[in-house]
Amino acid sequence: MRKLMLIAVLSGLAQVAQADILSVRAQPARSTANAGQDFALALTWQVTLDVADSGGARSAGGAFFNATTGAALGLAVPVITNFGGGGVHTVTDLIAIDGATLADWRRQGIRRVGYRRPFTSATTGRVVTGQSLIDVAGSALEGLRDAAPGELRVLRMELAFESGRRIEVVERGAALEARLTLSYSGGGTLRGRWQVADPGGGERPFFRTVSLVRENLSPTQRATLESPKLPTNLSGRYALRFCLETAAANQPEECADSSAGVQSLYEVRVPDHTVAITGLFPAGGDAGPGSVFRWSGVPGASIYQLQIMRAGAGGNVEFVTGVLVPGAAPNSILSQLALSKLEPGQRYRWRITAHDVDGGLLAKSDGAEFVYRP
Amino acid sequence: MVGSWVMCAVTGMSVTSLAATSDESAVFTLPAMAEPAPLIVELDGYDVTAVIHIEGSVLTVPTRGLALEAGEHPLRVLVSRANGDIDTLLETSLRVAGSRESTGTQTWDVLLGSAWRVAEHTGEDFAGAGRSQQRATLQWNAELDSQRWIAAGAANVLYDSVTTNSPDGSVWQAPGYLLQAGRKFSGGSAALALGDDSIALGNLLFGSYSRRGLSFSLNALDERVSFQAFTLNSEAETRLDAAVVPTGDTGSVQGGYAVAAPFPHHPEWLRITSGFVSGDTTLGGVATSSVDPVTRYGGQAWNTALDSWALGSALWLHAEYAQSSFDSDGLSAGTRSASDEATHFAAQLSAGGALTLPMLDSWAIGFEHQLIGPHFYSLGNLMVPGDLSLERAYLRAGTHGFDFSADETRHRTDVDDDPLRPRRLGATRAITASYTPPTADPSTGIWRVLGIPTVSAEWQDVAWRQRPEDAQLAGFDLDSRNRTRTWGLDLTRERTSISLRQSEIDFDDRSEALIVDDFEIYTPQPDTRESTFTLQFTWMASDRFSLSPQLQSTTLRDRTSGARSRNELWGLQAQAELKPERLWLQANYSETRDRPAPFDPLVPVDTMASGGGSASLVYRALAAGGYQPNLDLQLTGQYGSAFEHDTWQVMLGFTVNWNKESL
Repeated sequence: MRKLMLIAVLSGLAQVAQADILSVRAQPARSTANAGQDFALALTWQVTLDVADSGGARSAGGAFFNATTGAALGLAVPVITNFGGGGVHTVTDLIAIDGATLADWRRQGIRRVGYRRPFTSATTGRVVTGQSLIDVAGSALEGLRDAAPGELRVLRMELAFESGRRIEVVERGAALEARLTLSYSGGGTLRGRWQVADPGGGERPFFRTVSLVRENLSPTQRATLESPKLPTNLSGRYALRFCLETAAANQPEECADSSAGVQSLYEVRVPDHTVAITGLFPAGGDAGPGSVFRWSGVPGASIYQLQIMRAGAGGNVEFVTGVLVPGAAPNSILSQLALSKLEPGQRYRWRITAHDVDGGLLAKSDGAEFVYRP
Repeated sequence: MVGSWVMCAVTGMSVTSLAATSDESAVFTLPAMAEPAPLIVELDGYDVTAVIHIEGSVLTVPTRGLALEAGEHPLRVLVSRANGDIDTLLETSLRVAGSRESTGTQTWDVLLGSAWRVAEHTGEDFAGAGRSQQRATLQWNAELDSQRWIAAGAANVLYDSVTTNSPDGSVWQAPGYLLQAGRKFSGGSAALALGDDSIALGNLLFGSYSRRGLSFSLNALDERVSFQAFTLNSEAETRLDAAVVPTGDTGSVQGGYAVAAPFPHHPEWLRITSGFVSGDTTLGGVATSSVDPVTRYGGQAWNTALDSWALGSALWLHAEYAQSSFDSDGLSAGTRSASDEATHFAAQLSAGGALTLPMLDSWAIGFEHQLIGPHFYSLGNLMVPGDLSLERAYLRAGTHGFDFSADETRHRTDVDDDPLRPRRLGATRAITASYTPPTADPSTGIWRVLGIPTVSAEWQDVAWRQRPEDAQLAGFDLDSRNRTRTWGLDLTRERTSISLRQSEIDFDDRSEALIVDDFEIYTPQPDTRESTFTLQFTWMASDRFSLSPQLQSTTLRDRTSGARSRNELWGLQAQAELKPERLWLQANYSETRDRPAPFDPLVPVDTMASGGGSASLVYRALAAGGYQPNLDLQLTGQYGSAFEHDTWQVMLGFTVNWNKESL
């Protein structure tokens, strides 16, 4: 195959040396049309003539071909154009294909159409043909299931928070992550960026990148990505977006205004008035059957709820056991029943909540860790 | 967990007597014991012995303060033997119903804020931009319960006079609300719900499906039978004026599902689920981007699924069949609806129940097969992969701080053997492992210096090819492979944590160019290696000061030409409580530097830098108390730069915040 390409290149060089038409290029070289929807494209041909040429060139029109077989599709665009003199000339071609024709082509299994336009040198009569490829897709929905070359084509992105909401409200300092559900055809490396605009930007929010994403996606049409831990240290309204990078190292400047980006927001509010329980002990060390678990007392507490958890599969925290402690004293040893559920040598996390006589939450603690040693 | 609930019944296999004395406690008589021994009482997995009363053979559970929610609560009474053994005396459950009198709780939070831009960078950046911004937030939760009726409500409403960041350009947003009213009866309940309610099913028909609308739910026969019918907006909505009860010809989805467990004494033996969904939608919606958010698609689908658990839930079997009639090329275009079907089978054996492996803390092994036709679609799971046959096997295991998982997935397209569709075959293999020393004590030895370490590694291999004879049909060749290797190290101490990640993705394209009539219509991509390094550090110097720097770097190398492109990101997040409960300082900054590959003639080789950040000083002028709100004054400075263009602004504002819980 490389040999064939080399021959083609050498052949082209030979023609350049003696011909008056040096090259014909289409811009865009590739586009996509959806079956059933009318398609229109303003195509620009860039025709380069030898600087010494004075006769110019002529094109009698373009035609459509099945790009993968070369078979003519019987639809011509008879736009005659003439131009003269050496140098680079641009010719605009307005092509249109009605949706029914596209649907018919797709039904025939045609997925890629070549629009070709031959240009004939007035001086030598040599013909150089250019081609622009048009992918004939089904709808955007069907596009997910279409074959795609060995690259990733993201067709849809959906942004939600862990709660399933599209907009979230959390307390200041809370742990917050978002989920991005991608629908795509093909497979490969997803390149993108998580960006946030801090509160207070008014009509001119300043987005900054908080994480670069490089993720290998299997060709299974759908994937879900977790965002990094999002900033919640400022109270106010943050904007959050994910931007696709169209090419490596290219800044996604137009992220917010195109299908290459998806955006939402979250509100960080002032924490409620729940008192924090501090002074947890043990915190990081060992604990066993005689160990006293202590914490700072909360006035008005009727019951303390001591929870013991451990890290489970997938980063989840699993409840292991717990003890309800009368509110009279902010301490307790682990009961025989609670101890029976702990594994020697295992690391656990524990925390405390304080409740009033009606069960209402008065205060809560952060977690602390201990290693169980019987 | 709410203290106003009352335990009014005790049911179970071995209860000898029971009584519910008042709204304050539940009382019942324990089985007689041959010889006296200390008793232990466990409720919902908590040892509640210290807060209950046992006198003789009468056990009294003081319900006030136990904060139990409505429903069944496992209750065990155990005997502590002299030799240390714990034997079960009684195993039953407490059913918590509503109180005899109506009880209710309500919480609300109101925030009002204004900010003004008091200084800015001179230039075009702020031309035409208003100086002020007003915003408001309302959060409300309420619950009302009586013996027969229950009502609940939750709402979030946001207002912002500036719509620049609004997902749909509206000043008002309702991220989520739900109003429910229900009637309880013996063994079940019926409820009507208005608002955002997720459908709690995950199958071929419904997948993480949550839309705004109206639903009716019914539970009966002690929750062995449940039913829900709904009419919903077809796209995700946060607009305040979105249809409350969407029933129009377009823009709505109707359907329902039923779940039944036919064996009363063994509901786990068989659970039958069947659902139906019908309507139309676009691929748009709030916080959604799509290459075509306009075209409407529509149709209907139904499914039936059987689930069974055995060996004490250690074995799970699942079989599902679904069928649809759907117009996937657009309702106003192309052909009409096409019918298709999908099937899903799964089996899993896992730890717990009757199966335990002494060497492993947790484990699971499973297999699934999924076959989804090219024309199968469900509005409740619209992005379900299609024209795909997939087999997946997996293994998970964990013991003594070591966790391991392995997955193998094989997939194939063109499930209908359509001569006009190319066939692609894929295989994905993945292995992950991590280890945390379970006995490492952060207060001793080397761990005192380093912190508790977690070492992790991941490997993934994705191979994807197309039959060579299908290259002409598809218009391209396909034979590629992506291999990913990642390792990570996390060190965690009480006040510091460090996370290091290094990953490499190798892309190997073995496809051939496709040339027709001297035109190359498909060009293979270059082989590449992409490396990513991530460092994150968090340091809590005290309860009042923390600092979190981060660094990330990616390099993409063309393995043929050697050309490289590079992206770098660094960031810093800091916060300090300068005066307790009175004055705070917070700051964020991050910057990216992007250097494209030098061989690209269309992009300059220069490194492009952009960044931004903000710093905010918050002063609490008034602290909340009673009905008095918090009043915070906030001074914020923001800076942004992109492509050697700098800009900045300073905002001054205040927020007033009421936060209240009432009973």
